Amino acid sequence: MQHPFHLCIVDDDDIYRFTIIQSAKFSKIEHITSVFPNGEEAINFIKENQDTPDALPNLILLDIDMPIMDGFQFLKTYKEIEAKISKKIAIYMVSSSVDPEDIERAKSYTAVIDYLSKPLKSDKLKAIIEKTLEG
Amino acid sequence: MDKIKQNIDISIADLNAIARIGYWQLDTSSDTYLLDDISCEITQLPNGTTLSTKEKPPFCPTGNKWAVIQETLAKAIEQKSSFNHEVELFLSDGNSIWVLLIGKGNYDEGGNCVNVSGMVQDITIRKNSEIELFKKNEILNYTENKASLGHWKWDLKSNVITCSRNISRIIGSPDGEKITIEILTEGIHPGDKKQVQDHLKNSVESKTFTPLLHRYILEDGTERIIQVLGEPLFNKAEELTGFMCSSQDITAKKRFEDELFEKNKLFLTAQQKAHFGYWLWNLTTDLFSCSENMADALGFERNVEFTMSDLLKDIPQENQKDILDTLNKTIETKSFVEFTHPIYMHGELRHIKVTGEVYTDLEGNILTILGISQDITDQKNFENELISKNQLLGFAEQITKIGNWQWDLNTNKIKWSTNLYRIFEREDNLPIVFDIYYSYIHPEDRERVSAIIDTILESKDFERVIHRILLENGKIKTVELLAMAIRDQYGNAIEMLGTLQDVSEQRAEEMKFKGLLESAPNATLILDEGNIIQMINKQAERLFKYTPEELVGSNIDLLIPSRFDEKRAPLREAFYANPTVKTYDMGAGLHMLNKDGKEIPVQVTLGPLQIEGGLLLSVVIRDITEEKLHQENIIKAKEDLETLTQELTTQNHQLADFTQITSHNLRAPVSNLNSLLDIYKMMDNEEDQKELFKKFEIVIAHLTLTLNTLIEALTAKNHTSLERSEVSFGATLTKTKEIFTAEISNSKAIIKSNFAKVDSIRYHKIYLESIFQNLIGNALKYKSRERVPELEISSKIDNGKTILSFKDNGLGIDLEKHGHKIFGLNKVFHNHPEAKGIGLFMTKTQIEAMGGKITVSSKVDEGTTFNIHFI
Repeated sequence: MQHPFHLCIVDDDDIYRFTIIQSAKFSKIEHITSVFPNGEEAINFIKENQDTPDALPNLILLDIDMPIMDGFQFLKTYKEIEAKISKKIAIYMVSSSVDPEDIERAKSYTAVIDYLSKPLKSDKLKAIIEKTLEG
Repeated sequence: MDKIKQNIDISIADLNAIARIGYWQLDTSSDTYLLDDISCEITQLPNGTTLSTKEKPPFCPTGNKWAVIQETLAKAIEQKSSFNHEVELFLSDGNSIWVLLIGKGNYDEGGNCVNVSGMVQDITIRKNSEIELFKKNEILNYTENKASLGHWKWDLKSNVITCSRNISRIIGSPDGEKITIEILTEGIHPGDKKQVQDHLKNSVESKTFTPLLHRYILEDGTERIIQVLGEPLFNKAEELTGFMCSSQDITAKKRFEDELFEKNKLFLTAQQKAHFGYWLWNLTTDLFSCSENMADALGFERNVEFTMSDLLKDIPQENQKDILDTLNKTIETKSFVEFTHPIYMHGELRHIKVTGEVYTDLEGNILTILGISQDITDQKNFENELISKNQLLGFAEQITKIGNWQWDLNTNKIKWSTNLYRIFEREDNLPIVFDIYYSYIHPEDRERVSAIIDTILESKDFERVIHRILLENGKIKTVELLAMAIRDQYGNAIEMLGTLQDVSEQRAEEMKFKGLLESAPNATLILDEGNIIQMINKQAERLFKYTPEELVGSNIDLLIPSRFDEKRAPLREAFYANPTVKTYDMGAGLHMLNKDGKEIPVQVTLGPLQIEGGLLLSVVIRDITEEKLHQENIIKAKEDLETLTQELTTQNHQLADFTQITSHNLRAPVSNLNSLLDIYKMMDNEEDQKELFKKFEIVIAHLTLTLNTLIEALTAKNHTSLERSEVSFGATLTKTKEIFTAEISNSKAIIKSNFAKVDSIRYHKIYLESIFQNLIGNALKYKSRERVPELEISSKIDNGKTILSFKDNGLGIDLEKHGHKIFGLNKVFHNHPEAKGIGLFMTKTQIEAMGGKITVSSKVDEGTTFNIHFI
């Protein structure tokens, strides 16, 4: 049986999380959403489910600026465990930062598909989800 | 008969007059003399004069002569003997005459003398002869004495010897006494006596007397050498009667001979030493004899005569003819023609110089030729050496273009060495007088040269001058004249001598060098090894404001402040130890002094200049006043830039902070607002929209807080000169504790403080309170759930700066992860419900606004320490 699309939001900003969840609903695409307020919680979840592809998200929207473990620290750890992960996860960096350094750094990670600036509009989100679904 | 008698009487009287015999008669009864005319004439008295025995007659004017005559006469009368007396009379005309007085008494029967008759004869002539003879004898004796010569006559018949006074004197027998042969030979040296006696015996037997030498001991013990010469004496019957001999003391002669012998030996030695010998050519026999040393030298037997060909045997064939020609010339001209010839002696070629003398007889025929041959090989060698030395000198003079001269001030003649002629390009050996030299001196230099020469003449003994000479062909040369005066005992110059060197090339080199020096862009000094300035260029004149005259001859020390002495000494030593071109940076700025006493910052480059006379030193001085100024400006600009950079860095940090703030803290809520708005548009459910507005409110509130914080922070940053007052740490802590009363009591937190080191600071009161509230608030907020919160707040002074510490035992922060953003705005590191990320941002902003800084050290689950470094 087909598992629904799994969207994962890693961001400490609850307003942002709210807007993404809302936007995802507007896309009319069947999906489930998981939310982590920082990188640490997110990476722990992935580690726990690295052998369970169904539990893992299809798409991660990753913020940079977060307490405990920020986006880059998450990517660094993720890179270490990537090979062991049984599922290909699409990661998009979504940040309010327009610092080119941040953008460059984000794109240096092969796991990162793109860097997106906040705000992430509904149609954009829909497009990403669709793109991810298409594989 | 009477007539005859009378005639005879007259004749006698005439004869008497001719023979100058006068008659006189003494009448003893009257004691008067009667004189005849002749007597009167002889005594130059008037005819008929009578004389008294008692009165001195005119011819016996002085003394007791008359009385002596009377006494002698009286004696004769008394003895009835005849009276015969020679006496000198002094006549009235001033002459004296000798007279013979003869008298005889006439006695009566009683034997009494009645009168005395006598005669007087003028015997002056005879007497004078006698006296002459006597004198001659005396002279002979004297001469014998002087010549240490004596005569003796040996009469064989009587075997007695008559000897001269000198012999008598020597043998100590009375004068005139005849002596025996024994007496004569008594004083002969015992060693010679036998020989003398034998000689005399032989003489008698052989009837000849050969010369004899014997020693004789004088009374005083001195030993003399006597030479005896003798002649045999024969009678008419040709029988030997004796010998006539002379004995001469030849001690002195002998000594002279000995001396001569010695001298001769010396002469021989001298001959050997001086390498000369003599030879005698007897033209009669055409044989040669020569001195011993010459015989030795030629390998002849001594004292043996030899021939011309013997003499020439060691002389090279080619020279023999010349010698013979020369000798022939000597014979022709009868005066010795000198010559020299080579000869092989003991296999070695020597040079002989021959001089000599020609001896002729009265007719001018040559008897002998005396030749003196001297070995002049060494001399010749010296001469050759001298010649080659002279050539060398000439050569040296030519090479160095130097010549020498000698000026006789009396004759005004000047002697030039060959090279001088060459320098002046003048024909060799043309006589030179001062005016000729003077005419060569370049007209512009004449005055100067004259002055120098005058100086030398007057006072100085030595002088040098460089001047130009103008040659006949128009060429100009530069020469250096060195002159020295020779003075007589009165200090007057009698001669001047010296050298003259063509220094045109050196001069040209010097000019070139001088030109280079002048064209050098920097001030340059040329020093000798004694640090005396020899030369300076225009730039140096300009820099130091001295004229060349003032500087040349001075020590470089004149230009360097004494405080550099200590630094310079080792540098100078090092330079001379290894003279290479070096630039000396004297560290904290070498300065040099100009004439006004102004110090000029300089950079000095030393360069060695090796010249013939030693090492010269070129000192190139660069005035670095301008550079120094620029350097200072640059340093200042750099410092300014550094300050600016620091400021800019600070501002950059602030800008970065601001970028961070805008991107995260402002863009984030704004993008949220946009997203919310987007959702709002798509939302049709009113209930959902109401829910959405709550979200809007949250975002807007957040945004407002952020903006307010930012404004506060910007205000703080823009007011760096905030009002300061003395604020107490203790009081501030007390106030803070009051604010957190509830939290402290709830958590049972222990707050310790120690402000013993420093309890107050000049600070902005509100900020300090804010800092205390934020840090203590954080400590309370992020306390460990496992531990009772403990806080230690203390102050100390480090390096004169106040440091305030806040130490807690709370949760701690993972600085490896969060170190870079701990003081960022809206940064939270704990999943703490109250974390807003504003406190530390504001604290840092406030501290930096006051000029201080804040640092943090922390360990997760152990605690955190914040240190505030005030300025």
